[in-house]
Amino acid sequence: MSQIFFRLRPGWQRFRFSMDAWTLASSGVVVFICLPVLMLLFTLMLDESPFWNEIAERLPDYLKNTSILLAGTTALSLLMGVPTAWLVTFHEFPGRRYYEWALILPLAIPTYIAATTYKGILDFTGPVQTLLRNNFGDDTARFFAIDIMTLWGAVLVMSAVLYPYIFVTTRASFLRQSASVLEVSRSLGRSAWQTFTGVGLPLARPAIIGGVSLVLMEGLSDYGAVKYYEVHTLTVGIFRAWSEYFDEIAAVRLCGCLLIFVFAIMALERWQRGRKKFNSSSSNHRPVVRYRLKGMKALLASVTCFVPFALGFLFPAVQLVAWSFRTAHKVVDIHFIRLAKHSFLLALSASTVAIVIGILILYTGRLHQTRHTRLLSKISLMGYMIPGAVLAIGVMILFKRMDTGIISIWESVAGTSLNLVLSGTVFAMTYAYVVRFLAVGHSPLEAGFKRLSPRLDEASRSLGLSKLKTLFKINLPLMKGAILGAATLVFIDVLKELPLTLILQPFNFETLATRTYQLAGEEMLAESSNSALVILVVGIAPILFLNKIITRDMQ
Amino acid sequence: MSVLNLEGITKHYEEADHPAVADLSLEVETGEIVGVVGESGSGKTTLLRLVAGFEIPDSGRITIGDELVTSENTYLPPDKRGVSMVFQEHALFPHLTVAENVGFGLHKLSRKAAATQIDEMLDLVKLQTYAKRYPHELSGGQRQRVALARALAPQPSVLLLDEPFSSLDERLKLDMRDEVREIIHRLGTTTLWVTHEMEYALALSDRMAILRDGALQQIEKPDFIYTHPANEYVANLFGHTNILHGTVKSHGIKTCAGLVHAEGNFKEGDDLTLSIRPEFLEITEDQRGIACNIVRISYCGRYQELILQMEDSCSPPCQITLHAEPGRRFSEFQKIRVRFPEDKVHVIKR
Repeated sequence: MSQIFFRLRPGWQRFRFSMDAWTLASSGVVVFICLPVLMLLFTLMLDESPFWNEIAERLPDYLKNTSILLAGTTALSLLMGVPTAWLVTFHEFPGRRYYEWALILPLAIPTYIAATTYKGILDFTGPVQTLLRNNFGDDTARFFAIDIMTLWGAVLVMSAVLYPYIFVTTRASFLRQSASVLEVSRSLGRSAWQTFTGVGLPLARPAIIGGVSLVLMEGLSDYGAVKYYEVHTLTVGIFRAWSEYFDEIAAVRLCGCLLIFVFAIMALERWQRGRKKFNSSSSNHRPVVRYRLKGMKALLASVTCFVPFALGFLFPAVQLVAWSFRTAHKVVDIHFIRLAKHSFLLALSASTVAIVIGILILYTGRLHQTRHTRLLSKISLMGYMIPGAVLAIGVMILFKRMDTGIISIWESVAGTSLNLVLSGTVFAMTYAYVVRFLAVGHSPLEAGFKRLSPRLDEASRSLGLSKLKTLFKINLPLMKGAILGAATLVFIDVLKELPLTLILQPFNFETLATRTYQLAGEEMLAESSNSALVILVVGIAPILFLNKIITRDMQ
Repeated sequence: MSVLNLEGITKHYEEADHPAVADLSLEVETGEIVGVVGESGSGKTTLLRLVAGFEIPDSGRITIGDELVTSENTYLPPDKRGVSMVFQEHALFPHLTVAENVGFGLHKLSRKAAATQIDEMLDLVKLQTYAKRYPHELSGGQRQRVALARALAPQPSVLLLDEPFSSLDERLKLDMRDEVREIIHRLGTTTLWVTHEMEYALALSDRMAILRDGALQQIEKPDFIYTHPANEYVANLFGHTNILHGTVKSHGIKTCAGLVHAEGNFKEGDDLTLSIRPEFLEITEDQRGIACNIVRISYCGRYQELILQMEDSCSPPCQITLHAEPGRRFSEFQKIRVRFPEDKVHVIKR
């Protein structure tokens, strides 16, 4: 007994001395972050859903469509992401240097913008059909008409803009592979193709699965594209239960189904992390000498890289620019600028809050390396695992309940009536963005903190500066780059986010994302291009920046 | 008067098999420089971090001046302790100039007073002309001096130095050792410092504390530790020493190497462990010397190392090491006689 006490006490003591303002503040924030999910779990227990039977009838359809969408998108993304990564890493061919970053650009185009743009491109009045009609006549044009607004169309469009997740992770893994391992394979008589399938691919498998899980998460979260193409997936079901049936419990139950998919993806990701050991390369890493392709092979490589880039970026971007040229004079007015300003301010405030909270939690973890702080850090990242629509409903229910509470207290104390307080406000929206995108800012911030030797903090502390002053005078000035990077990433994600915004946007409040989506929904595709273009242009810069980091870190 | 007082400090890291610091008590007098010496993993850095307040001990008390800073129910954070630390890797703030680094701990002073103090400190470490430079523009030795000036500027009650010379090259180490000693002595700052390099500890410490596996082996003046090591471990820390086991007889101490004499009061029949350093052994023509054969000769620059095997020895044959002056000629298998000077044979265990 006394021995147990002896081993326990130091831990208890450390815990007691670590319970300072920082730990308390972080704990409080993390509890606040958990609330929407707890609210969902709580609502899941309730059983007073008026339209559940009606909605449940469609559930098999939702599940089938979601599964096909995810499976198809994964397969097609792999097809576009892995071979291109192999080509640009290990081979030399015309345009290779340019494809290294061009193949990442589709990430700047949100799925709903790609979906609406492709509708326009392949429309009866779109450039493809017009070109065919004018040159080869109506019949040819009709023969080549593609109905993109189907499940398989959604698969194609999503793969075209999501494959870069696989391209990026796979390429990073290829860059980490030691040249000697691959050269051994070649010297033992294996062809380039056999080396790719026998050595390169198996080594990169954990990274590929990492990329796949990102594609799956994005595909699962999407609402705009599937709704526009009228593909009835789970997210569409959630929206319908929420805004057509006004049955929040049924919506939450569908959210539960969606979360099962999320857990499956997380399990997949964990499983591959467990295998990561295989991927660790020796320290004497030698970069690859690229194999120079000639003639037909070089041309084939170029085409292989051009297709995904064109599908994911070039075609939609050109179409958006063309539309914008036609409509900008009508659309871009004082209202549009005000709309953009709103969007930017919203994204800016959400990213600022997310960064402040991220710094608070990470700095607490730096001050006290206890189990408690590690747990806080892990929980704070949960939001990113929750699809936007699910989180938005959690936040909505939470704030409605809080409002009911506040209003009843107010009415009993003040005797006057009170309208909605928190729900349907910009505050609720910002809160949801922060919960969802905290994880996006977390990694660059964590890397920023890790780069600083703990001795710097200790030197400052021993020279008489408090924890807070040390943070402001030592840590923050030395990680300006990381803070800026993290803020930018959160900013872009908030700017692009559609499903969450659609559910939580206050009355008469629009963002660039919702305006794009709304105009496209009203068959004003050309008009919607202006706001879409703003999102796209803002999104490109950090992607190029990110690519630079990957290349620099890996090579 | 003691400025720093550690009583029964124990610190056991969760992952570790044995405690980093085990029931350690230590007192440092005002203005004294105490060097803590130990191999890596002996707990010496943990000891400094406990004093600075970066670690919390499992048990024990630490007092700085009159203030209890650590006990079972007290924990004064590092910024309230008035203890400055110089880190092994210096930990200069890369975004601040030399002057800003040195003035970092002077935030409680007025701007003018701080500026004067910074000037004085830079003067002390001879870096006046570098005030506006950034750490990456300095040489290793200059960084070391900035780190020292930064730690000394707030006039700490205790200065802690963690392996202060380990990041410098050999030649610079010697210069810095003398410079640091001069600066600390001039300011009279109470200093606790740790190193694994015995040579520097001997030269830069008023007293030395020998640490092994978190436990204090001996704390004494350097010359005393050198001649009177408390145990075999301490004796061997200063380079190789001859350890002999023997029994007290009426006419001397009977060891493997023959009969030797040592100072002290022993009873006949006592079992003793003796240490004699190679450089204290004397080669003699006297027939009373112990006869032995030279087994191996190694030329070491300042001396020649002779490995000797006793002629009249037990089995396995007893070998001892002797340092002879470099000029003298020896050959292998040559017979010589050696003498163990009575005042240099030190009893380390009874």
